[in-house]
Amino acid sequence: MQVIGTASELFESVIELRRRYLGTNPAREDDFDRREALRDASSYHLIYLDTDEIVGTLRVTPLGHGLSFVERAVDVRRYFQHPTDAFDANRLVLDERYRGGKHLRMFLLQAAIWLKANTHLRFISALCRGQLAALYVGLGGRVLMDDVAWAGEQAERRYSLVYLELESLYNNVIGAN
Amino acid sequence: MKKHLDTFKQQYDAIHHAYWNDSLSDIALAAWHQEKLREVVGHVKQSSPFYARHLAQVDERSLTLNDLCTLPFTTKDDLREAGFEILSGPLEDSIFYYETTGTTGPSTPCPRDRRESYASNRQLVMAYQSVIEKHFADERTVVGIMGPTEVHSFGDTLGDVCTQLDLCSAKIWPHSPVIGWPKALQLLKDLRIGVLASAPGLLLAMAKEAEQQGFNPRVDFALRAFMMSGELCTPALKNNLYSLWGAQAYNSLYGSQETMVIAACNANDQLVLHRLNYLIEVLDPKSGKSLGSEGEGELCVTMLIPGSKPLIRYRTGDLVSIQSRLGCTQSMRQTVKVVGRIKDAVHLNDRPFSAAQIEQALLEGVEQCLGYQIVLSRDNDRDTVIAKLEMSRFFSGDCGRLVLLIKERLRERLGVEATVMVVGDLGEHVNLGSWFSWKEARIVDQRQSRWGQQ
Repeated sequence: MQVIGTASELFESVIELRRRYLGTNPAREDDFDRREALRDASSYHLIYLDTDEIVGTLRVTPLGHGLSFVERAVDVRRYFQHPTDAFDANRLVLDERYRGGKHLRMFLLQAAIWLKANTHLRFISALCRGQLAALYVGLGGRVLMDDVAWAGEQAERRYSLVYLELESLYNNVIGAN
Repeated sequence: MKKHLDTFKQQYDAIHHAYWNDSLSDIALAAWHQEKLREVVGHVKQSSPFYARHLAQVDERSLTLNDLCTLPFTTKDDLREAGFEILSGPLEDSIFYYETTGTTGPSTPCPRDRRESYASNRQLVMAYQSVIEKHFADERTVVGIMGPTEVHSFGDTLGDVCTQLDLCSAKIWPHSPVIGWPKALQLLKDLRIGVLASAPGLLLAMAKEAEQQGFNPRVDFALRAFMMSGELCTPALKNNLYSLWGAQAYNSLYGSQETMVIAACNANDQLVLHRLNYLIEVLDPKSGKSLGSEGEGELCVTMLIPGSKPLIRYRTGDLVSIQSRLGCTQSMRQTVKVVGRIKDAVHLNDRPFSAAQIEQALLEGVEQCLGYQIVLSRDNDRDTVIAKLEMSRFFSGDCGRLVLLIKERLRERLGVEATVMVVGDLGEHVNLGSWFSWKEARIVDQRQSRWGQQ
């Protein structure tokens, strides 16, 4: 696993991987390009590599600055007393060839280790759907809100807001491995 | 014109010598000030179309120092609007043509003639002499000069300073098309450059380049002192530069293209005012009321050397703190601390902070940092900060602890909630843009966008 910024030559591969599995604007947000550029510029981009190929990505966007999608959809202050101690885990993608085995857990474990050592972020929000919400719950997450509605430009989508703590995520992933 | 310089030097060298060996009394200095004030006002009224209009009502023959605060200000807007009409004489009588960098509007011309160039550089000669004597007591060294552009005075001024001190100088501007970073770093190493004149941001960028090229900045070079100018450098940033390079950083001078060298450092890294060349006033920045020649406020200067572009009661836009030190020698009597530019002030949750306050809060105790950037956002009707730091590969501390410490300090000092991030790829402009504007280079303000209104 590596952590890169938007200036990295690897970042284009991150964008490509996201585009392949998530599309360009999954929530159909307004003013998306500008918002997304700001989020990318103010986030950590964690990448999972197989030799030199990027096969997984996760964006870690700090909460408390009104930057992230979750802060548009939900009043996170109801759940996070000090939002700047937390981050939103978003744009999690794993190449389909690496799904179903240990890769996702390995990626999340390495991510947790790096975040514990290099940031002051200790709490996690994840606004997600279906399988991903179940995955986070399986790793110690707690569903704070079900049925979060987001009316995008074309259609309404529904999400679950999941809360995790970095320490328990780390312990749960390690335990599962 | 050379004849003018010879005549000027006869008078100037005598008082300069007395000023520096402390044989110039306060009364004699005041007499010099009054004589030069009358001379320079007469000079600009006669030679500058702008000042012929601007000071038409002023009779310089009866001016006293007490009348100074009755003269109209010269502002940055005046300089922009007047253009070449501000000059006191034809451009051909000058020896150098420089311009301001033009980040906040059109560039303005700043030519210099022999007299003002000579008088301005004398103070800097004294500063370089004192620092070099401190670090190279019985040795010779080479001075590296890294200046920003070809129409900036930096290279010529420091070249002249080194010539006057009989020092070898090397102009190694890394952004020159014939130099570049690899050659600049190789020259820095091969010439065993001991003193480097540059800007703090450039020194951070250079440390990053040096690391990328496989150097260890602390080990592979012979640097002992940085003579910095171009932007403010807080004690925290100086400490950080020492951690990166193992060289002591001095705020070598304070001035600008328009005003030349208003103050230069002594061996204790204090900026001492060049009172032979300027009448100094501190103003209330809002009302413009003169508060005298010391205290805190906006610096206003009247340039006393009757050259190509002396300015009368020029509002610098810089916030300063001037202290008079009784018992010190005449040349060391007044020190100035530059708090920052008025336009660089940042309001966070309705409280104003200077660039220096923000930088100090961010970098205090931080070592091995290659650059920083601050993103201002707004959430829940409160301003917030995302601070990004790029660290050296030689940083061996606890990253998690460092960012937590800075986060708490930003909350305590600036009253903001913050996220502090260690990143690997701050853009080059973050460090290099600081030659022109600290704020534009290092602050990304998202508060005014539609984003903040969500």
